[in-house]
Amino acid sequence: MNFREDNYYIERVKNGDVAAFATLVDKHKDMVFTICVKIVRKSEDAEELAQDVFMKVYDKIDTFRGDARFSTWLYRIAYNAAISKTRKRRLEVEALDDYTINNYSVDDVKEELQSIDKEEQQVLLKKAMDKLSDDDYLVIKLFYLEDLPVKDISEITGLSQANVKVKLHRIRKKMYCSMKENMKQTDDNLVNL
Amino acid sequence: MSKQDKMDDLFLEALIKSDGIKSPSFNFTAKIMAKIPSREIVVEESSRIIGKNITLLIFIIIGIANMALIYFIWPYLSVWIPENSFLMFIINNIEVFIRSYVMTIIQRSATISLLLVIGLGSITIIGKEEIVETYHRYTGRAAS
Repeated sequence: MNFREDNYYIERVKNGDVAAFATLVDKHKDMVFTICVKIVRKSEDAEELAQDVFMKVYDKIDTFRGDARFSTWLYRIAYNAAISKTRKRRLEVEALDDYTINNYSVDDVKEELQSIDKEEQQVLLKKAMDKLSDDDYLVIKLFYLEDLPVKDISEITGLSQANVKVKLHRIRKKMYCSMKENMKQTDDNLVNL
Repeated sequence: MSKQDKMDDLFLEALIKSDGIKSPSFNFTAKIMAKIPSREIVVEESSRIIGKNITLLIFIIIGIANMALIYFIWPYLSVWIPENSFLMFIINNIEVFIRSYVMTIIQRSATISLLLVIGLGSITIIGKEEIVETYHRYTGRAAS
């Protein structure tokens, strides 16, 4: 489905067109649900929470002035709601002290990854993503899938922009490291056979 | 991570994008929309370009102009209408049709009015209970 710009639907909702809100929900439900499910973990709870988030957004849409992106505003509400529900601590930046993570070349891993087929790449990625913490998963998804700039991720998560950059850098390295390890394990298994 | 770093790392981006995100249940949107109380429908009243009196005046002028036109061109127009046609029959007898229609309406109205007056007069003189009792006596049912 092709969507228009968010502002188009927001103006229509503000003018009393309830159906336009359904389109906004359709457009953003997946990411809101992903944020909720990653923090509250249970799928049923996450869906209920995502519904509450959209209801809150509907009630407050008149206050949205359009200074920031609608998606950033929405995801921040979703993130805050999920955090409040679980009473989980907010994101913290871990120190870059892991020797293993830093002690390899990203280019080498990329080269190795490019030599295998796409299906295997996806399997390795899935494994690497599964190893990420929920917070890391969320940050990387917001950055790559939603194409959100660091500034917006910083607004959503409450981290400073510098911290988001550090976190993204670390997650990338972690993922490459994890994929390299998995590749090595697969190779070892093949040799043992 | 700077924008340049992101550009450099298109490989990872492509991998993550192909992984997708999680989706809620298929009727997620419907559930939300069911919770939203429908707001009052705002009906925008169209603004009138001209007032009622002007509209009426325009219609009267057009009507009169039409009648005048038909009056003056009728000798030329009637030549083209076949003499024994149904259209000519209608035109010649329209007055009779209207008169008979109006008369029928008046007659019916007068009859119904008369019946109503007789009915109301009877109820007033005889009384409602008496009429109901008589009715039940004839139909064989006990009066309640």
